[in-house]
Amino acid sequence: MKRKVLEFLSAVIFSLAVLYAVVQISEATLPYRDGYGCLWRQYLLEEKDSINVMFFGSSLAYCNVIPSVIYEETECTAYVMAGPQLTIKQTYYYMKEAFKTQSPKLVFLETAGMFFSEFTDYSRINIGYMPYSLNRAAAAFFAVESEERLGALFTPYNYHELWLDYFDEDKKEEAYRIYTYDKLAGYTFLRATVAQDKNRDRSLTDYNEETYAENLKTLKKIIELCNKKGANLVLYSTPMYKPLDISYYEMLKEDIKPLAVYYDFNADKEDIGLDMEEDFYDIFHLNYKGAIKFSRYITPLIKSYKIEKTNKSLQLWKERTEYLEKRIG
Amino acid sequence: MNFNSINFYLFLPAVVIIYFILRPKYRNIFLLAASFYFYMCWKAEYAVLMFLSILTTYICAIFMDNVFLGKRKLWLVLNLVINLSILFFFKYFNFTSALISDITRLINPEHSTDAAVFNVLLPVGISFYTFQALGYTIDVYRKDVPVEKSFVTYALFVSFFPQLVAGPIERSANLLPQFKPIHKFKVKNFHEGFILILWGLFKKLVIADRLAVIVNYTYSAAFNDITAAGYIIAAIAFSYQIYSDFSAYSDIARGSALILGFKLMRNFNAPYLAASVKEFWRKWHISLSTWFKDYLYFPLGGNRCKKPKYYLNLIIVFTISGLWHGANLTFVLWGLLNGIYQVIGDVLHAIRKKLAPRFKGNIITRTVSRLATFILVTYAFIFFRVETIKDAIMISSKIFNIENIRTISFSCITELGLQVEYLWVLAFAIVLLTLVDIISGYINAAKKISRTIFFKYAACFFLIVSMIIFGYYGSAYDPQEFIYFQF
Repeated sequence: MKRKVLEFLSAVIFSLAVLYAVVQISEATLPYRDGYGCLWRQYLLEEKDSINVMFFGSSLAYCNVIPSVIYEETECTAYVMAGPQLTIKQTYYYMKEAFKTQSPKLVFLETAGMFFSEFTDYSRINIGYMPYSLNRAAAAFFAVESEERLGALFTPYNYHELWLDYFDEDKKEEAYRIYTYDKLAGYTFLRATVAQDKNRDRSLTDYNEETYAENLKTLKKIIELCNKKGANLVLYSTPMYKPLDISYYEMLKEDIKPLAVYYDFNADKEDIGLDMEEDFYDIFHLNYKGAIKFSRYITPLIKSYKIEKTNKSLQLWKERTEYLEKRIG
Repeated sequence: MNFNSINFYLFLPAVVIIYFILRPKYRNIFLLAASFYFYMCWKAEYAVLMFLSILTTYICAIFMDNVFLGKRKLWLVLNLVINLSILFFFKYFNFTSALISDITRLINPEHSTDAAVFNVLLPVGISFYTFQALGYTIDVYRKDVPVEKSFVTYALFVSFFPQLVAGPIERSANLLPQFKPIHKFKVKNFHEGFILILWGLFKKLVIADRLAVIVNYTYSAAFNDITAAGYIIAAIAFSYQIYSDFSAYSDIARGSALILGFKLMRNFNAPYLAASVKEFWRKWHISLSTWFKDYLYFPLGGNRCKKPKYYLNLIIVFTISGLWHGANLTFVLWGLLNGIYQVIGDVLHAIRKKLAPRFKGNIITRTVSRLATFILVTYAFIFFRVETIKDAIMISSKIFNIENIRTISFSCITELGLQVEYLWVLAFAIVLLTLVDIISGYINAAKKISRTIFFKYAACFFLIVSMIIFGYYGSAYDPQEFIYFQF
C-alpha cells in the first residue's frame, strides 16, 4: 500500500516536472520578440488591472495606434495586443487571454480581419507566442490550420533547435535577452513612408463568403465576452492609403449595426489630418507620424466613455511617454 | 503510421485502453482489427496481400496437420511457393528483370531488350510477415508447434501491429501461445514498456536521425567533395545510425507489446561489443539470423559437414540474407562479405586457438577484437548504404589509400553537415548507448530501472527532456522513416 501511494505521488511529481520542463524549454527556445505583435511576454509583465483601454486586431492595430499618445491626451493607459494577420477567430482567443490579467473598460477591435482568409501565414507566431493555457490549446484546435496545430500546442516543435543560439557568438546576446516592459505598450514604431511601397500590387483580403459568415459568428462571441467582462467594445476600420473596396465597409457596417458600435475611419482621413505621402508606411499601415495623428483623433471618442483611469504604474507610463519622444527625436 | 509519429501515440493508448476494457473473448478480434487498421494506414490495398498470405499459410498448415490428400510436404511446398512468389513479385521482379537484361546485354549486345518493369510499391513489412508466416508453417510441418485452429489467433500472430512492419520476426512457439491466456493490465509491464518506448524514441530521434544528417550529406555529395576521412566518419556514423534506428524500432515494438501484456523477443544484444563477426551475428537482428539458421542453414547441413560444404552453407545463407534486405546487388555483396568474414574467421580460428592460452581473458585482446569486429562490420555496411557497387568500390579505393588517411582531422567531422554542438550531443548519446549495452549484458536494464521508483522517473525525465531539446523533429524536418521499413 505504501509503495502504491509512493508510486502515485511519484507519477504526479514526474508529470508536473515534465510539464514544467516543457514550459521552460519553450520559453528558452522561443525567439526573442520585441515588435510586430504577439508581445505576450511583455504584456504579462504589466501590473494587474492597470490597463484602461485595449486594442486588438492585426498589424493594422499595432502599427496604427500609439498607447503613449493616448495616455498623454487622456491619462488613460492603453495597450495594443495584436498579431500579424491575426484572424478574428484568433483575436477572440487573444481577448480571452488578455482579460485574464487586465480589466480594460474600453476595447477597440480593428476589423480588417473580417475579410481575411480562414487561415493566414502567421498562425505559428500568433498562437505560438501565447502563454501555455487551456485557452491557447483551444485556439490551436479551433483557430489554426491543421498543419500548424502541433506547433501551436507544443512550441518546441517549431523552435527547439534554437538552443544552438546560446552557443552562437552572433546570436547568443539575443538568446540571453530577458523580457522587460514594452516601452511602446504593444505599438510597432515605423519610420519609412509609402513611397517605398505604393506601387506594389498587394491585396489585404482574400474574401470568402463562408469565412466571413464564420467571422460574424466569432464577432458575436467577442461581443458577449466584452459584455461579460464589463468592457465597452468599439469596432473600427483603420484609415488606409489604399482602402478596401467600399462595398466591404458597407457590408460590414450593415452586418455590425445591430451588434456594436462601428467606425470607418477611412472616411475621416482629411479630418485626421493625414498626409497621404508622408504619414503612411505602406499602402495599408500608418507610419509613426500617421499613428500619432490617428491616436490623437480617437482620444475624444475614448474620453466620451468616461472610463475610470488607473493610478497604477504611473512611473512606467511617464517613461513610455519620454521614450516615444526620444524615438521621434 | 510510424512509431515516431503523433498518430501512433494517439493510437497506442486508445488500443491499450479498449483492449483491457473489453471482455477477454473479444480482445483478439479487437487486436486483429487494430493491427489491420495500423497496417492500412500505410496503404489500404496491401492489407489484402497480407490477408492472402495469412489465409494461404493458415489453410496450408491445417491441411498439413490433417495430412490432406495424404500429403504433408505438398502443402508446405505449395505454401512456400505461393508466399515466396508474392514476395518475389513485389520485391525482386524488377531487380531480376534488370539483372537478366544486363547479363544478356553483356553476352549478346545486339539482341538485348529492355527489362520488363512493374511499377509497384513494395508493401511495407512484406519481408517480415512473409517470413514469420513461413516460419510457422515449417514449424507445423516439423511438428515443433501444434497447428493453430483459430483463424483469428493465427491472423493476429502474423499481423500483430507492434512487430508487423519491421519485426522482430517472431516464432510461433513464442508468440502464438501468448494469444491464448487472458492478459491483465500490470503496472510493472506498463512501466517497463514505457521505458522501452522512450529509450527507442531517444535512439531514433536523438541518435539515428541526427547521424542520418552526416550520412545523407556524405553519400549524396559529389565523390570528389568528400575526403577519405569524411567517408570513414560517415561509415562509422552509418553503423550507429542503422543500429540505433533498427534497435529503436524493436524497442518500441517490444515496449508497445509489453504494455498489452505480450513479450516479444529481443532483436539486438549489444552487437558492437561483439569480439568476432560470428558473435556479431548472434547479437544483430537476432530474429532474422535465427530464422535463417533454423530454416535454411541447418537444413543445408549447417556446420555438421565437411569444411568446404560448411563454408558454402555460410556463404549461401549470408548471401540470401543480404538479398532479403533489398533487391540490389549491393545488399547481396554486403551479405556475401559477411559470409566471407565468417569463413575467414573460421579458418583463422585454429591460429587464434593456439594463441588463446597466452591472451585468454585479456581485456586488451578483447578490446582489440571488438574494435576489429566493428571495423569489419562497418566496412561491410558501406555496401549496405550505397546505391551502386561502383560507389562502394570508389569509396573503398579512397579510404584504403594511405595518403588520404593522413588528412584525418577534427575539422573533417565538422564539414559533414552537422553543427559542432550536435556532434557533442551525439558523442554523449553514443557513449550512453554503449553503457546501456554493456549493462544490458548483465541485467535486463529496462526491467531493473522500472522497478526502482527514483531511477525509473529520473530516466524517463532525462529521455523526454533530451528528446524535446535535441530530437530530430519539427516543422523544419522531414520525418525520417525507419531504415528497415524499406525491407
